[in-house]
Amino acid sequence: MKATIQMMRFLKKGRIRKKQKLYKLAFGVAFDWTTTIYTGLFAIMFLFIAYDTFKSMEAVFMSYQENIELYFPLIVIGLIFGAIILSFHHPSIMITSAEWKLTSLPFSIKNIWLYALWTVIRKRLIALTLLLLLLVLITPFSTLVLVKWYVAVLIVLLLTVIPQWYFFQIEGFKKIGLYLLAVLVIGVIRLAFALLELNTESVWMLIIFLCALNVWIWPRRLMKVNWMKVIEKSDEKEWNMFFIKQMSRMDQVKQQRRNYFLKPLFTSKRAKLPFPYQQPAKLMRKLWRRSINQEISIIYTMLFSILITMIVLSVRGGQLLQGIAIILSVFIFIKVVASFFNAIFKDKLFHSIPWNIAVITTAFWQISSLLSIIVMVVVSVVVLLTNTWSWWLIAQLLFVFIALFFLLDSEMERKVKALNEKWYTPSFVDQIIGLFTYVALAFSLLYPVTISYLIIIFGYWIIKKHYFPSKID
Amino acid sequence: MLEVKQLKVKIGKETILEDVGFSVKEGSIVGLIGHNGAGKSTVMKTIMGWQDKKEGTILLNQVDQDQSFITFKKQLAYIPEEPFLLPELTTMQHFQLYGQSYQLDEKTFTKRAQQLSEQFEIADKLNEYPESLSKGMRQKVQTICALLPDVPLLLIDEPFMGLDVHAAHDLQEMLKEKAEHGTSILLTSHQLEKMEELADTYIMLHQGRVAEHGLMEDFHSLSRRGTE
Repeated sequence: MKATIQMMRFLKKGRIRKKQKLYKLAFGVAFDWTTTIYTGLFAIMFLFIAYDTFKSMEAVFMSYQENIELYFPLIVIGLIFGAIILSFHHPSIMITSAEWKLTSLPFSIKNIWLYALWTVIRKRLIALTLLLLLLVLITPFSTLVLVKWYVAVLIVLLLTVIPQWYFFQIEGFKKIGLYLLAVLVIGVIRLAFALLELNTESVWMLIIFLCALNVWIWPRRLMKVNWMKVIEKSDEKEWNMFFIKQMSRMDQVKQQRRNYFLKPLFTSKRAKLPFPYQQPAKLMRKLWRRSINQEISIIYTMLFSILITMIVLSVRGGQLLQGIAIILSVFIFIKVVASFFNAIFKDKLFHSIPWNIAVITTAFWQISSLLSIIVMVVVSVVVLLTNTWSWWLIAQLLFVFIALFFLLDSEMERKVKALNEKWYTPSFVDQIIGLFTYVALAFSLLYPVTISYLIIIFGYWIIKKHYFPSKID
Repeated sequence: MLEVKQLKVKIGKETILEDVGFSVKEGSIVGLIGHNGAGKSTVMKTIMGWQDKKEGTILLNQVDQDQSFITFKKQLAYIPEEPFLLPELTTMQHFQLYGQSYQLDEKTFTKRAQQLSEQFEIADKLNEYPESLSKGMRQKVQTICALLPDVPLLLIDEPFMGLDVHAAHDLQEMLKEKAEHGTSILLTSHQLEKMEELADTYIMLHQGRVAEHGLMEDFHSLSRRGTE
């Protein structure tokens, strides 16, 4: 075990050094020293301000303290339930590919696992203790109450590590069954608390249950382990350094999906057939769909952001604010869609072949039109629900729709030109027309006459496409 | 044909290529030689546009890479050292993607795709996805993709890596034939004996600079790394 600990510490040190190097590089890109010092000073000032504000709200905190006691068992149940949910995504104990490789040397997986368990326990202990100290320092909650919560939460957090590991290994319907059973058990426990008027101290019953579960799992902890899945998830978590990915634009480089072995089982014979050679857009559409499917979470986030922006700014009243909400929604949509357009060109294979821009953009328009309809439905529903219905309103929404397409077309044209020409900068007229379109969008609801700006959009669009077509192909 | 002038590439603070310049004439086969880390792959990546250059110009038939990248790329095809196929496309769909991108007419495409897949013995794998192919097979698919069009320049990084003896021999013959028909070829390989058989001229890179260049028959040997 001693040799394992030494080797694991050695690995950890190497990993920390590499991360430090990466963070140093990333911070070098994001911050200079002045920014770092200011950020540090602001953080300290923020702590003082928070302390002062919380101090002045002592009475509120005390009333919260009394009420929150009632929810104590609920929070403990929530933590247990959270561990079960997390077991769908992560094993809690990290065995990365580096640790796994140690098993080919004279190190046993049992010892490696034990040390990894200790690392999780230590991490949770330190994080929770620091949180306790922060809360003791800056909030007016009673220290005794905080310590009581700390002890209970810590015990639950520590006792859910092994169950999460064990449940992570269970697959398919068995796991869903287990999940439903857990919901049932937790529901029964919650009912028992309510019906039998059990007090907060009864939470110890839950902790005893967790202890028993740990004892039951312990001899089974390394049986039927899906090591490949554990390693994949652990590697993903260990090296998923958000800040670095953002700075290095690594977030744009998609990890290869690893469920390839499943694909042949689920792909139809038709999907394997060649495409009609004379219709290259069909093949391109497939590539776009693939590219967008990989970024589906961004689309959900985009739609959610647009919905929230529209609702929040619309309910605050005023058509100008709603106009600003429309600008923001259109802006978010165009930037996200344009970034999708760029993403495919970063694929190695795609980058290495000549680009048939007409085919590529036609196929992309077919996909992005669908997305723009979804966005326009969101915008229209909010606008129609918060305004009195009139034909003007329909005309204004139509204006938004056309402006959105115009802006998207201009943005894509700029992207294509930038791909072709290293030093490309958009023309002044193009930039000004784009800016005016956004301004017109902001005022379109407040002053319906603004939609006459459509004449300029159409005029400019026709002149550009007819007299100055992009001659890239 | 291909002209690389005063090429300088930096990654972070490290200079990878410094003042690299060479040209590849029509129908010639030029071998890029050098130790690991000499900058061979960076030259390839910079020509392909994956790697940003700090200074210098790259012209292909007088088309500047910085000013008209799409036209520039239509004139070249690339065979990478490691195949990078798309998991969503079958072998034939990859061929189609290349054929359509290089705007080959359907008749020519069908004829060449069939001929090359038979020659490389993958005719029975046309409707297979890359994950069900072995590494060598994937390399063959990638090679065929690049051989489908008739382009003025072929860039080849380690062409014989992963290919069996027969496929390597066939590829060598095909490259010679392509060169005879006017295609210029810039290739890197650690297999010096193959390089000697194939290339007309060589360019030797050392620590990111052109250390030597000349006729392949005048090339003597590559000294051990770090002994110079």
